[in-house]
Amino acid sequence: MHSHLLRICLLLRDWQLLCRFKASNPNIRFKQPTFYTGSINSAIVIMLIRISLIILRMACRKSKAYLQIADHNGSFTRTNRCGKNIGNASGIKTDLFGVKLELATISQQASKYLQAKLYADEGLHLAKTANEQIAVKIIFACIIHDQNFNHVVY
Amino acid sequence: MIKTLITWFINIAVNHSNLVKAGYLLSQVLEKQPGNSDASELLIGIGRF
Repeated sequence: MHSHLLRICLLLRDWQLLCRFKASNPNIRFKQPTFYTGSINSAIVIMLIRISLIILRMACRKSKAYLQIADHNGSFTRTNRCGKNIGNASGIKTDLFGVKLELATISQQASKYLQAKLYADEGLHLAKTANEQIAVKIIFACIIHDQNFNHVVY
Repeated sequence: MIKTLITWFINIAVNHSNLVKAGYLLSQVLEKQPGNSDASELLIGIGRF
């Protein structure tokens, strides 16, 4: 959080310094309008885009951290804490695929195979990249394998 | 008696379809990554059932 704020402050300071430089040297012409060389409106738009990207990145990191904590809690069968962390991660809504994958693995570890299969199915629909698809397909197969290995029939 | 028999058959059919789907998904994974050891081991394990 502090590092992101620092980055925003540095951006503002750089922009102010370059504006002063431009004002003191009006003869220098920049080829392309960028964050530093464009008008104030374009600079504000670029700044807003950068701030929104920083906030999005922060949210992504937060949800990943919640999912990691949930994974640890699930491995130690702390179901209440695990559910709370997964709820927090799903509330951020940046990594829904990760949430479904985590729910599937935790349900599989708790030998609730029907629920795990449903979560893996949802994950199959949510997977976008090739690596995500491979991960969710392997988890689905693992759930079916464990279900048959433990002779659990619903 | 008939009801239990029907549920037993349905369970077997659902389980069979799940196994087929898992095998199909694993074959897709192995098409993309032929050296994936997790997928190949799981495919062997599912093949037994």
